[in-house]
Amino acid sequence: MTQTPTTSTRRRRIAGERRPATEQVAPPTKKPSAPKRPAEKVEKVEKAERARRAPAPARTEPTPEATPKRPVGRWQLTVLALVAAVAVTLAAGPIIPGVGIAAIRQNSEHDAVAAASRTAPAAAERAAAAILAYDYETLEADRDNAARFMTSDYRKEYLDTFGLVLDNAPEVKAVVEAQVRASGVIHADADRVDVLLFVNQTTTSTANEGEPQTALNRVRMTMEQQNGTWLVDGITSY
Amino acid sequence: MSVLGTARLPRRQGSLEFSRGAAATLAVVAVVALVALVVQLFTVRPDYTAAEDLDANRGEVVRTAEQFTLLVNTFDAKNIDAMKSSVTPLLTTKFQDSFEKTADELLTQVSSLNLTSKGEVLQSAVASQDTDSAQVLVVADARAESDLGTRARHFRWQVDLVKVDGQWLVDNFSPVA
Repeated sequence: MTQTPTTSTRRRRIAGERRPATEQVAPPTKKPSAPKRPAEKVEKVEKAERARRAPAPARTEPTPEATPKRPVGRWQLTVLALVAAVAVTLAAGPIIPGVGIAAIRQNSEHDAVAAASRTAPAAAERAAAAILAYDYETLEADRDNAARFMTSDYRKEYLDTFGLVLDNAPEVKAVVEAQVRASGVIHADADRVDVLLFVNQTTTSTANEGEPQTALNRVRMTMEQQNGTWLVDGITSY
Repeated sequence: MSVLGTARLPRRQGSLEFSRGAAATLAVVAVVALVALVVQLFTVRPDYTAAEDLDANRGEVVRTAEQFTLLVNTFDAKNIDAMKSSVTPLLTTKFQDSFEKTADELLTQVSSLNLTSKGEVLQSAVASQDTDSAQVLVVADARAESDLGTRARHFRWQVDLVKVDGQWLVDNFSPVA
């Protein structure tokens, strides 16, 4: 019996080619094997050729690059669009009372009106005490002090009216005091408030022989806010 | 691979990116809007509701005070009971007794004079108001006719109201001297 050298049927790998997982590299055998018949040899070569041409089997753990991305379907997009539209409408629109842009704006306006209702009456009371009082000995100073509480438009009207006081008060030595007894809001906007005042005006003059006479006045003062200050823009008596 | 197959790949890729981007954008918009809605339900809506209630109450408070003032100053001394029965529904239980007593004293004073009075409300203003109490200032005049002649009367009243079982009622009134 003769020993024939064995030759490997595995082809050389191309650079970069991965070794198949199932491929097992058979170590070259040194044991003598029985000689093969020529047909079996050809079959083996063909099998090796087919194995070389077949694609490498997939790994059990797919790579990220291999995960297919699925597009979002048209109906799914439509549903999402409807949900978004409904949510935006509910959040911004007037569908739900007290919710939305209009409600936020209304709250802001209401806060401004509430603040005006709190501050304007106190300003009206201070103005009334100055405007509805005077002393025949300090008429011009009283006039100028009162004018500080007025808008420029109303000041002109007041100064025209005060001319009568300038003419008559010194003659009867009139002294008028004003005391505010109550105040309330008739109507309020953010920068304009109508205030009702109950004002007691007590007059002492030679016309009533020095005896004080008190008038229970009912006065409506229109207050206007300019640059953060409430000013008198009109006075009406009932 | 055919030329046709190669040309189809970029358009599919672009369409994929657009649909996924659009879906993500719509989802973000929906979530943001829903969060805004929930926040408003707890912050904006309570203030809005409170403001609406305050405005509604203000109107009712002023109407009740004016109606009371008008009815009290409109009467015929021959039928004071008619005036009392028209005013009583506007009063709290506590104030009804005191008011009836005052009306009876008025009747004693004027019954022999054939006095009639016609009232007119000129103006009113809210001096203070909260959820269940208010003070209203009322300016009113009355024309009183009697055997002694005709006389104009001028009033400055403060009317105190309270809310009882959802209804505003007069709890007291007084002239402001």
